[in-house]
Amino acid sequence: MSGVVRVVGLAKHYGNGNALVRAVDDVDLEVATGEAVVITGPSGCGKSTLLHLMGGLDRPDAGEVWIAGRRIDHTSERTRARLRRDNVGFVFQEFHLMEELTAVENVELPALLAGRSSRQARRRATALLEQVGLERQAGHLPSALSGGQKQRVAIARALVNEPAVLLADEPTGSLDSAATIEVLRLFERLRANGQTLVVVTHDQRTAATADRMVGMRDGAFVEDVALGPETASAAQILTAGSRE
Amino acid sequence: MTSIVLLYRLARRDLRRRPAEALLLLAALAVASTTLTIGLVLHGQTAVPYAETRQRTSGPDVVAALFPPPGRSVTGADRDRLAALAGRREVAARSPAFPTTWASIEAAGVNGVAEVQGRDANPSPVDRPAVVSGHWVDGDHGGVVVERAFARALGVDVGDHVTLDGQRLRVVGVAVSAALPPYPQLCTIGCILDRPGWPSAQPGLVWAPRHEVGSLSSGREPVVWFQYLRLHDPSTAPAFAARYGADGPPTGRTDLEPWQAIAARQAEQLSSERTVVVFGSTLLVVLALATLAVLVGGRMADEVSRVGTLKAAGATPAFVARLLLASYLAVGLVAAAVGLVAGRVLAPRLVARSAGLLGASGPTSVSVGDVLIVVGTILAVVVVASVIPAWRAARTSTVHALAGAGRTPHRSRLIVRASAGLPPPALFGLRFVARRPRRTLLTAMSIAVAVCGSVVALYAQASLRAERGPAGGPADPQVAQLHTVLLAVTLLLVVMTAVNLVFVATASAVDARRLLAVARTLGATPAESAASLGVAQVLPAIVGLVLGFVAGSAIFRALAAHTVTPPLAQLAGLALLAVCLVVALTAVPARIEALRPIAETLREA
Repeated sequence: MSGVVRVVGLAKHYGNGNALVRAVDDVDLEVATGEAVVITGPSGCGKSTLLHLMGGLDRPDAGEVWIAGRRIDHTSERTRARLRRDNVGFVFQEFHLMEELTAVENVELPALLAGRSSRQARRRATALLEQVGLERQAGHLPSALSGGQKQRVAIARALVNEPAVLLADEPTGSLDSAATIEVLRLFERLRANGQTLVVVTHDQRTAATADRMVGMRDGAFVEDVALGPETASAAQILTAGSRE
Repeated sequence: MTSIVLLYRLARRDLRRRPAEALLLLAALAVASTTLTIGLVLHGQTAVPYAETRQRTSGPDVVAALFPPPGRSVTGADRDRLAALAGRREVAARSPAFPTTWASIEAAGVNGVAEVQGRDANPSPVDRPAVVSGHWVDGDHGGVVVERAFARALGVDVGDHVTLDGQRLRVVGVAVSAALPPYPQLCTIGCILDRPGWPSAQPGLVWAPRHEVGSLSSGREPVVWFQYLRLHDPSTAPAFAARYGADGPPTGRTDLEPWQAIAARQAEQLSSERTVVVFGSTLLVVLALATLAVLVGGRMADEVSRVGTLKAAGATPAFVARLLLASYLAVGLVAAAVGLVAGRVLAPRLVARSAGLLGASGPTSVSVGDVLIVVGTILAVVVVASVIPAWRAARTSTVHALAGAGRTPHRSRLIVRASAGLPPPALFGLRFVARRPRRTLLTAMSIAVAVCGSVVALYAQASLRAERGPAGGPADPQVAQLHTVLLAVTLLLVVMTAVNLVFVATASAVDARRLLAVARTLGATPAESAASLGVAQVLPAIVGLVLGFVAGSAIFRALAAHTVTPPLAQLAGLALLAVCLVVALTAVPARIEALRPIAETLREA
């Protein structure tokens, strides 16, 4: 099975001398098509940096990054931008919606950037907003949406170009319990539909939505376990969450 | 007192923390205050050189010119009246009456008109032109002496030859006089220019032996007599002229011109330059205001958390507002001082080129009123540009400020609707325009000011070329000087606008940093990101361009007596240049921002 995302000997350092920080230190990871991987670890262990490197948002100091069979770590910013728009969807803790654009405009933006016609892009964006339950809020600016709604718009935006992989950085980190449940249900549904997911999180409930969990500490992997039936299922966690 | 010391200490640290910003601000305000000072002190700049010329050439207090009535010659009775005038008790000394006529002049291919005055070899008691090279007219050896400004315009010097109505004569000297206004304003005292093509000509003064004048005069250009008088009390010259003079030539009576009127005509040489400088300085003050407003607005976004810290430490909103104002006011005061000194030094250089006068311009006097106007204007610019942002920052809630949250971007439903469906760079660009309407307005205003100044300069150049008359005439030093002043003011406007555009583009790029980073995570290329910032600058620039063209042509039409429209190619070239300048100046900060590491930007956000 060839990985949708593959990193080999990946390293990213900040500072030098005594102040050298090994944010990512010689990491290898392969994520298979349709696999949902969750990366956990304490704050500052390098999870977000790894995610940025995997998505081509940052350049590694050493190692290789492969997305959908293409090596991206040495390509130009322009090439990486095009690769991102076609193959990668991002979801951030702080949503990072464009405040100037309405919900539907935010969602259709990657499609427009990818060169789809505005009609096609709008149709796809509207369908995705329906899927995340926000069709009524399509014309709202982000300031008129709740945190959970913003994150659902961000997820719809990440999916608009049918990416090979969706990378999510603490997607429930800024949400209250109810909104967290909404988002986790969405992730659960995506996993069930075979969407490849890589999620960085502290949240155990988020971890329960994955097939595999990678533990990270001081820039390196300390565990990599498949989440089998003995782990509390996502459904159980979500049910428990909704009773709270 | 403690509060003032603290204010001083914090303001000083603040300026040291941002030296480049302080220097740019100083430059913008200093340029505005320098041109403002020049405009204010240019008035009366010729007074010192004219007084020196008058003293060194025994200049007259009153010039008496005896013009014949149309179709007649001056009679003996007319000359008796002139002699009677010269014999009045108020007159302390007088020159002989000098015959004067007009003739065509040609020198090295340059054709013009000369006012030829017959003079004696012996020096006159009143009006002894100072010979700056060669020697004075000599009846025995012939030859002519040419007034210095006219000689320069013709391109002749001692030893060269000029042709007066076909008569070839050697230039034996070049001289300066205070009796008549120098070229090209000689005719303001009266001329008879009755040949085809002459009425638009500007004659220059040539002194020749008396007998030459007789041979040059004709029925069309009869001999006119000039006599120079010195009064016992020079200050009474205007009253003397009013009492004994006629309304003006040609009347067959004596026309009297007091020295004060001649001095005023000398000063008029600078009136056009002064108008240009005052107009330019007004535009530069507006530009400085725009630059400062952009700078303050951009800075306030960075200052929010500092304001929060100050307020958390117990500073009142008024103290915070005073602190934010204090550093700008300090820079404004220094800029006003620099401008006053620079203006005082530069103003005389605009006069020094007047070849019709002797000596250099004396030190320029900057009156208390001038100082108050310059300092007041610069401080007003500082206060107008910064008081609202400073007060708004000071009133920000402490918790909000400590969190470093800047002002919420403005949203326009109209633009949201209008831009829907546009390609991403245009979509982002329009949304950026709507996001910061004040900044958009300032961009449009800066471009409008620069274009307005440039359009006025083009109109002025075109009008000057048209007034210049037929090709091949002598050069007009005033026109050349005005061209130089126009060029200098236009260049200053363009440079200041460029500085302003860099400020605006940088502030916009920094403001859009997070949005562009997000757009890039979604697949926008650096080129698309930079293009969206370009659109955000070019759209207001186009509005400014149109406003500048309309305002520039309207202002020139309002100020100038005659308007000559510049060639279309020049106006189109200006428009193209303005757009290219905006694109080029926006491209650099936009490109830098577009290549900034995304992950780093998102971490900071």
